[in-house]
Amino acid sequence: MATSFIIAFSLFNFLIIYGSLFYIMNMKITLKRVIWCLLVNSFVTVLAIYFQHSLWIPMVASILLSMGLFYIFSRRKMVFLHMFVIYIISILAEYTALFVVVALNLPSIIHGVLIVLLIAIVVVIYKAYLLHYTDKIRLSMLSQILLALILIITFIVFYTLIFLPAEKGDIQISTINLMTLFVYFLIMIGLTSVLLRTISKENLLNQKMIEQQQFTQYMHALEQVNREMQTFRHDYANILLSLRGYIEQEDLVGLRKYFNDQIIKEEQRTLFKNQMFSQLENLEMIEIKGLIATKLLIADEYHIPMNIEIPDTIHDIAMDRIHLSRILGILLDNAIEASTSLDDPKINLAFIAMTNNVVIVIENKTTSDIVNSKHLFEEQYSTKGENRGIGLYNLRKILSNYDNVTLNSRIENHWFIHEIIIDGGM
Amino acid sequence: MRIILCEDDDLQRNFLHKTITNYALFHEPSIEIVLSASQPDEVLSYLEQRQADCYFLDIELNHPLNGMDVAVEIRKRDPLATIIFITTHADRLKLTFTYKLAALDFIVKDTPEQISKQVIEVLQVAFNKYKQLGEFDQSEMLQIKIGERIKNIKIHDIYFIETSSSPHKLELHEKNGYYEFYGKLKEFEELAESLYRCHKSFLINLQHVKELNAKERTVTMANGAVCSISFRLFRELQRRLSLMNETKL
Repeated sequence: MATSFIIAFSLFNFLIIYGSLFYIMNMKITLKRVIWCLLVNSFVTVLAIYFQHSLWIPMVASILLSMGLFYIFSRRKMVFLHMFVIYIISILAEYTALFVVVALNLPSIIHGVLIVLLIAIVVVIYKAYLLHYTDKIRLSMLSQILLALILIITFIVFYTLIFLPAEKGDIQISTINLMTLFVYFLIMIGLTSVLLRTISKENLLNQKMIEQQQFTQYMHALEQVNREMQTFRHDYANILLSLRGYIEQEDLVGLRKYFNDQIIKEEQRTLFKNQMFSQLENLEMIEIKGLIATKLLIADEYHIPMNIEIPDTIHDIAMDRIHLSRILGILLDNAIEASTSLDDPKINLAFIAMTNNVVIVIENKTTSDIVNSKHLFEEQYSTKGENRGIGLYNLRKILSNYDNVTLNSRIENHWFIHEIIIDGGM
Repeated sequence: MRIILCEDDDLQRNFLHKTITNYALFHEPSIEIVLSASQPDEVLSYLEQRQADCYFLDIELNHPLNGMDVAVEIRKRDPLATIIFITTHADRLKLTFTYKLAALDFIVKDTPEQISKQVIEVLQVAFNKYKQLGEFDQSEMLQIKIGERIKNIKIHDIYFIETSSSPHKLELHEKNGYYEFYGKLKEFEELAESLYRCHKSFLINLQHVKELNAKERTVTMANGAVCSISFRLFRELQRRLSLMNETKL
């Protein structure tokens, strides 16, 4: 009797736990995965039959094994969080159903139906809740661990308070405990949603602040260019005077030299910079604008010509702005650094809007003509010695979170070229 | 190879016309200029009925439409056409030309000697491309589209392709770089004899295998990267490698 009950229970457990996980994580159900789940589940069942009197052993085994299994399936750390949430949900649902059935003296078939119904409802709510918040909140590693810890402790407390008395047949205590916990749970949900709301608000505020900062930087950069134009205009009178001096003395050689060295060069540089800034106007993302403007001025300080092409207006790019600025920052820093040691440096940057995607190209002149793709993204690698390769490693790590972004890096005709293709958005 | 020329400045246009016809006369008689236009409208109305193979377009046309707009129209009709831009602004729009319009090259307005030198160079490249269009052996190449630009990667240069942690994304490692694109490894298995799917997540190029490690069941490629081999394919991989070495000797 006990054995058949355990088997039925474990099958139940199997369907609920794995089904909810597949649903919450949006994972494809393949034959292979189902077989693996079945295997793990039967192992747990055997354990449960073997340790009939201390059910916590199969319980813990089940949690650990399924967590491991789903982590292997999905490679996402969120599995650990979801797992505990589902367990807590299922325990709550099972016992709520049990008490309802006992209290109203309903047939046991209702019990099963009730459990499934309750779990389904809560899981659906949970997923909606998740979807609502994932975009707004970035949890750091630490807060993820803390959250998982809170869930584990909640789970243990639940288990000892409800499961143990119920096992000893003390339904009365169990009922009271369940009630208390139910209230506790409701309060917790309320508090967490308040907390989440505050965090998302803070995040938004932070983002606004960064935006503000970038905008200020952009304004500063514009002002500087403007000042240079002013100085040039201011020098105009002086320049004309010097020109007149050369002309009056009919010093054609001196005139040519003065004109080419002093006027053309300076003016071209200022005009060039001005033109690059006008290209930036097509980019309607202020953070990115600010970043590029800043890098443009740094490149200019090193006398590295940096060409910017943004032929069409770009409203948005289907990527987190903070991630996008980090990526561009890394690539532009690398390009500038690599260019400082060259005789004839050049950096090109382009944002090209196609119908379905945006292509960002960053390229810089280089002397080497071969790059090893194996080392390119390693933590310590750089073409310029040790401890400088962190950038590209981080870059790839950030991009690995995006299913809609691809990256190409190569050397071609003495250009080191990076292409980032972002699908969607605009 | 049929050429269309669009340049609003008469002097420049005549000069380009002369340079191209001269080159054709002495080197490639099959090159002919079918239209020499001063206005983009002429090119567009010509395109209504017929096409050409190669277009020389001035960017800064004295007209509401500029050369880039004309190029967009041409691309709509003929994705394979060769487009060459003529511009006064050095290489200020180089990336736009290549990625948005898949232009072959651009000619910078300079001294006449410089221009004619550039024209001849680019004509040679364009003509070679035109010749190869018919007999182009795509089996030797893997093509990736970046914007409008089509990047050909020689299969011989590929070390290996692996699946990425994101679904449907593949990562290709080759001699001079690294590429990501969407697809499934299965689509590339049959691409060439030398590519072998030695693991669920790896398609390696047998030509670039440096060494096999039987204990760890891995294979080290020429660039030092290590790929896994699945248990049941290790023997087969060994067999293929020795077979390849034999045929080489």
